Amino acid sequence: MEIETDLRADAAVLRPAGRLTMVTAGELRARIDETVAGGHRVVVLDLADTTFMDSSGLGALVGGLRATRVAGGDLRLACAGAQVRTVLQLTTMDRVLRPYDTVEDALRAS
Amino acid sequence: MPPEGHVEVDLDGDDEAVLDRVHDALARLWRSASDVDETDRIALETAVVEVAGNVVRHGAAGPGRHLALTADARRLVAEVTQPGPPPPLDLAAAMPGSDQESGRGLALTRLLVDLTCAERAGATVWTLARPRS
Repeated sequence: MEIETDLRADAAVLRPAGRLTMVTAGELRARIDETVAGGHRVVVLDLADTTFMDSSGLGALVGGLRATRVAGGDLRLACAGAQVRTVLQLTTMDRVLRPYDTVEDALRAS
Repeated sequence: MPPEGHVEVDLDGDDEAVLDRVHDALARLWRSASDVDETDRIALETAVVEVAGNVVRHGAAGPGRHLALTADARRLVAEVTQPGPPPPLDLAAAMPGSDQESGRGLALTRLLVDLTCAERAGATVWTLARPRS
């Protein structure tokens, strides 16, 4: 999947485009790990162009959250669409991966 | 009651080919049953991708994998067929804790649709049904 990266002073913003499923989850997880290894402990996932997420995609977010937290940072979600929000809510993962409305909201959160 | 939409596709090929075909089949269903609301579309699509993903990941390779989608005025039904007997899966498994990276697929599916798994003529048929809202 296409994953644009936008490095800010205090965070990295990743923008995965397309469907985040068992086919692509590993790519996103690897990109989050690389980003954290590159010294960016706070990662914001801008999901505006992520059209669909399955449970494997959600697993990549859980793994990414752990990777950022181990490094003393955080993984935050922004701009999730209705399908992604549905998956987060039904699995109750929105309690630990709260979807922020905008990237700026996610960057400001702590 | 006549169906508003009916779509069938084979699910042969690798993970990516199969999931592409599942999404395409659902897009065709929504074009013919255009009044299905977004909540129901999201529910069926999410559930069918979970079950189809399980079938390609854990089921036998080769021919015989198939998806049939039907929408009528009252409900949405998907049937996913895979060759061989039902896999040893716990359909009633609880949702894993928030630190777990896997194991949510079937629990999520059961929150979206009525899920049954039956053996029919030497094959396994997963039936996913959801009353329309």
